[in-house]
Amino acid sequence: MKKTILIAALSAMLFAFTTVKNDADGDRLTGIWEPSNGKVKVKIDKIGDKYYGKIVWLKEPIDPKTGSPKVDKNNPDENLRNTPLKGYRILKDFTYSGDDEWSEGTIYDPENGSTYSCTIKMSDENTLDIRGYIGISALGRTDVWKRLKLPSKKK
Amino acid sequence: MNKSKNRQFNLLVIIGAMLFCAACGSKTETPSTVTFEASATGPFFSGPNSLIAEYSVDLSALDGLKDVSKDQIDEIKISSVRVILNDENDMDFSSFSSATIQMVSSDVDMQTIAIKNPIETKTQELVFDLSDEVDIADYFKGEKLSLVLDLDFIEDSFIEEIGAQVIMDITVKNN
Repeated sequence: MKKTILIAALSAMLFAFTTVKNDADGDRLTGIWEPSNGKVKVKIDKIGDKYYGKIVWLKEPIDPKTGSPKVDKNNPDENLRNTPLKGYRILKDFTYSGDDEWSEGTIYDPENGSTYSCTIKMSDENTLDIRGYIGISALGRTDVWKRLKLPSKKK
Repeated sequence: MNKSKNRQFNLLVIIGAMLFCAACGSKTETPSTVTFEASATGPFFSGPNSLIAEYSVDLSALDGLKDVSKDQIDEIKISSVRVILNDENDMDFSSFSSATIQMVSSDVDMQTIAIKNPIETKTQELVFDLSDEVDIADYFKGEKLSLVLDLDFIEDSFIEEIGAQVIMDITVKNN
C-alpha cells in the first residue's frame, strides 16, 4: 500500500516537474523579434497557454497615400480593414511542442491579407526560423528572425 | 413496378421534408448579455497594451439561457460590444488612439471580434465596430475563454493598473 502511494506521489511530482519545465522552455519564445526585412518588430507574449506575436514597431508607420497610420487594408473581412497595423497580431495560437519548436500556429501577411500555417524553430536563443506554408510544410518559405537585444545599462 | 418506385420516391420526399421541418422548427433564438472584466498591470508604454479577461463559461448565469446546455448551442452572434473604463483608472478614451477586441480559448483559435479606429471621444464608454458576422459559439462550448482588449496608448502611463468592462450583447441560437 505504502509502495503504491509512494509511486503515485513520485509520478505526480515528475508530471508537475515536466509541466513546469515545458512551460519554462516554451516561454523562451517571448520577447521582441525582428524579421529579416527589418520593416517591423514583433513582440511575442503568452495568452493562456498559447503564444502570440504583435507588431510593436513599423519602419514606415504612416501610409504615404493617406498620411495616416497604416491599417490592415488587405484584411479579407472588410469590417476589419481599419484595424491599425501597429498592435496587429500576425502570429497566432502557437503551442510549444518540445525540441525548440512551436507549432499549430498561423502567420498573417498584411501585404496580401493572407494567413499561412506556420512553425517556429529556435536555432539558438536569439534566432528563430519562421516557416510559413500552405498545406504541407515542404511547400513554404522560411524567414530568419533575430531577437532584439536591449542596450545594457551603463554603470 | 413503376408504381412501386414512385411510391418509394414519394415516401422518401415526405420523410425528407418532415426531417427538414423538424430541424428548422426546433431552433430557438435567445438574446442575452455577457460582461467581461478585463485588466492589466502597469506601467504602460505608448503603443498597444493588452487587458485580459479570463472568463469561466456558465450559461446558467446568463439571461434567458438558464435551461440551455452547451451541446444545445448552434450559433452565437454578437449584436453589439461596448467598453466602459473603470472609474478608478482616472482615464477616458482620449488616452488611446485605437482599440481591438479578440477572443481565444485553449481549443479555439484567436479571432478579432470588434475594433475602434480612430478613437475620437473623451468619454469613459465606447461602442465598438463589429467584425463581419463572427460566430463565437465554439468559445462558449468549452470551460474557459479569454477576451483580449488591446488599447493603443498615445503616451506612456505609469498607473499601477487599468480595468474595463466589456459588455457584449449576443443572440444565441440553440436546439
